Amino acid sequence: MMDSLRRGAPYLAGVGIVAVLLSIAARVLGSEPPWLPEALLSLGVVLVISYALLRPREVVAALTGRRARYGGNALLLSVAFLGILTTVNILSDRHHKRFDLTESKQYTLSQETIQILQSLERPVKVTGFFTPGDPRQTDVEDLLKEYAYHSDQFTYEFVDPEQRPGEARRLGVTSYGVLVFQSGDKRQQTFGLDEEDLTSALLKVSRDEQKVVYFTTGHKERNPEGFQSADYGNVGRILGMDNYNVELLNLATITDTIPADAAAIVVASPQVSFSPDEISLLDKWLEAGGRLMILADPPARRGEEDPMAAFSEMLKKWGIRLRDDLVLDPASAFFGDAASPLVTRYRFSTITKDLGGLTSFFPLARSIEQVTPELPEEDLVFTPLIETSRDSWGETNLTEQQARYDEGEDTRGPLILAITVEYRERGSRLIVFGDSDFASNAILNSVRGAFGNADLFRNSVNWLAEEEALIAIGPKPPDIRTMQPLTPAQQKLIFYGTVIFLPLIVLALGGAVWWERR
Amino acid sequence: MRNALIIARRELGAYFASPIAYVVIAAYLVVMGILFSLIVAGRPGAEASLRFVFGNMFSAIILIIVGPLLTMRLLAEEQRSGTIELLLTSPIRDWEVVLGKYLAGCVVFLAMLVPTLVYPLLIERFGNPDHGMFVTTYVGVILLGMAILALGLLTSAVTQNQIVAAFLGLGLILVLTFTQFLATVVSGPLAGILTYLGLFSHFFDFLRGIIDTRDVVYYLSVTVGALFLTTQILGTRRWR
Repeated sequence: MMDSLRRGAPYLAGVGIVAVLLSIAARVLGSEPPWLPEALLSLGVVLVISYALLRPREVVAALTGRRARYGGNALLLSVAFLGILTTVNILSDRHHKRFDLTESKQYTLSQETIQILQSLERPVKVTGFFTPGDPRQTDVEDLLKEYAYHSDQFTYEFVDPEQRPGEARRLGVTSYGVLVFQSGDKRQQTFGLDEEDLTSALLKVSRDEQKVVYFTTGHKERNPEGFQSADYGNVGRILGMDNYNVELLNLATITDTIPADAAAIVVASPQVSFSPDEISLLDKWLEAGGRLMILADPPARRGEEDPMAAFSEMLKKWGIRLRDDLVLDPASAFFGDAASPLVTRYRFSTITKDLGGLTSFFPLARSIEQVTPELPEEDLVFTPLIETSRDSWGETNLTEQQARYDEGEDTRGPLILAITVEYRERGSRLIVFGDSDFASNAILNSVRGAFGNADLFRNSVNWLAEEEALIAIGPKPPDIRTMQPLTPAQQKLIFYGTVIFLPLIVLALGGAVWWERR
Repeated sequence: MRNALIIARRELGAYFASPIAYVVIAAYLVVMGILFSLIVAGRPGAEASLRFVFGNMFSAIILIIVGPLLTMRLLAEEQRSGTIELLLTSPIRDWEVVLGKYLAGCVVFLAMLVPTLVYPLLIERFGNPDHGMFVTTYVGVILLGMAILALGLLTSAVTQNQIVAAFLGLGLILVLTFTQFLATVVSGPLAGILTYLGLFSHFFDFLRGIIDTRDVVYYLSVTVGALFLTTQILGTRRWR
C-alpha cells in the first residue's frame, strides 16, 4: 500500500500543481461557487506536501544537491532580473512620454485642452457607451488616451450597455454612442466625439460655478418651466442636464442692466411686442459682448400685428431681416406637410457639425434675410445654419386658396431658417431662428431622439454660452489621406505584383542558392 | 561581442542556405500582399496608410506563426546534434551564443520586411500618405517582431525538437496575446496588468503614428527578458 502510494507520488504532485493553477484561474475568472478557488488551492497544497512526505529523501537531495545549488542560483538570478524588468516597466508606465509623428499632428491636443486637463482639481471619470465593434469607439478611445496622458485625474472606461444595463440606467443613458463625464456629483453627456466636444464636456463637469441661461418672460413667450405642448419644458430640462441654470427674466423689472451672470438670453417667440426700452436693453447688452438667441415665428394671420416687428430695427443693425412669409417646401417636408420644411443637410458650423445624419424640421417657419448691417460689416461674421431646399419658397399671400410660388412676391429657396452673427472683437453672439415650434414640448415629445431638433437647440445654447478658451479650439479639420481611384488595370498590376511576383522573386533567389550549393 | 557577431554570421549562412527562410518569407509576402491589395489598393478612397494592413488580424496571426518558425531551429538543432556542447565548452560565453543566434534571426526578420517597403512606395505613388505614420508603423512592427523572435528563441532552448520548439513558442506568444482578452472579463487593477502584458496592446499606437515610450520599454523588456532566460536555460546544461 505504502509502496504503491510512493510510486504514485509524482502523479499526486502533478495533480497538486494543476489544482493550484486551476485555483488561480478560478480566482481570476470569478468562479461559481465562491469557495472553489480556496478548495482547489488547499487540495493542491496538500497533494504537493504529501509528495514531500512520501519521498523525503528525494526532496532533501533536490534541495541540497549540486543541481539544487546551481539551479537555485539560476532561479534567483532570473527572478531578480525579471524583478528589475518589472520595476523598469512600472516606472515607464507611470512616467511615459508620447510623440505624435503624424505630419498633421493629428493626435496632439490643443494647448487649451492641455491647460484644462492640467488644472483639474478632482477626478473626472468618463464612461463611454458603445455597441461592441463600433468604429467610433476606437477613434474616441484614441482621443481619450491623449487626455489621460495629460492628467492623472482623468480616467475612462467603456461599457457595453447590453452587458451592463444597470450602469447605463444609473447614468441616465438611453442611446449608444454617448460619453458620460462624471466629477463629484456632476454629470455631463456628450454625443459629439471630437476634441472640442470632449473638452467642452470636461470643462462643464469640472467647473464649479453654474452658467445661467435666462429666458425672457412677460410677453407670452414659450416657458422653459412649462409642460404645456407649446412650452419649452423639455428644452429647460435638457439645458439642466448640461449644467446650466435655467431662469426666467422679466426685462420690465430691470432698471439698469442685464444680470451679470447671464451666459445667454433666449427670446422664445413672444406673442406680445417688447417695449422699446426692453429692446434697447437687450441690444446694448448684446453689443457689449452679450449672447442672445431670438426665435421668431411668422405672424399668425395676415394683417395681425407681428410681435417681432419691434425687433426689426435692432436686427437690421445686426444685418438680419425677418421676412413676412411662411416657408413652404413641398419637396422636403415633414410627412408631406409643406409648411414643415425638413432639413437633412446643414451648413458646416460648430453648432451643426454633429447633426450629420439627423433630420430636423421646422413647423410654420419664416425665412431670414441677410441685409447690410449698420455695425461695421467687416467685423461681423455671418453663418447660415439651416437652409431649405431649392424647391421651397416663402409664401407671402396666406389668404389665397392654393399656395403657390408667385413670381415677384414670394422668395425662392433655398431660404435661411437660422443664422448666427458674431462680433468677434466684442465677443457678441447672436443667433436667430425663423421658427420656435421645432423645440416645443409637443414636437420634442413626439419625435424623441429620432430628429435633430433638440440637439440643434442645445448646441445653439452651448455655442452662445461657450467660453473663449473653448471657441479657440474649433473643430479640427479632418486629415483626409486617401488613395486615388485606381483603374482595374492598376489594381490587377498591384495585386499580381505584390501577391505573386514579389514572393516569386524570393523563392527564385532561394532556388538559385540551392542550385549553386548543389 | 565579436564572438556573437561571428555566430550570427555563421547562423545567417545556415539560414539562407536552407529553403526554410525563403519559404517563410515568400509565404509572409503572399499574405501581406493579399492584405495590401484588398485593404489599400482594392477599395476606392481607402486610407493611404499601412495601419489597416499591419493592424489586420491576419497580419498579426502570420507574424505570430512566422516568428517561431524562424527561431525554432536556432538552439533546438544544436542540442539535438550535440554541437551545443562544443559551443558551451568553447571560450565563448553563453550570452554571446544566445545573442549571436538572436541577431541572425533578427536579420532574417528584417530581410522579410524589406520587400514590404514596396507597399509604402505604391501608396506614395497612388495616394497622399502621412510619412510619419509609415515610420512609426515600421518601428512598431520591428519592435513587436523582435519580442516575438526572442520568445521563440527561448522555447528553442528548452527542447531538442524543432517542431516542439515552434509549437511551444507559438503557445507562449499566444498566452501573451490572450492576456489582454482576459483583461476584458476581470475588473480592477488586475485588468490593467493583464492589458499591459498583452503583446498587441502596445502595438496599435505605433500604427496610428504615435510612439509612446511605454510601448517601446515593454517590447524591449520582453526581448531582453526572454534573451536573459534563454541564457540561463542554456547554462543549466552545464550541471543537468
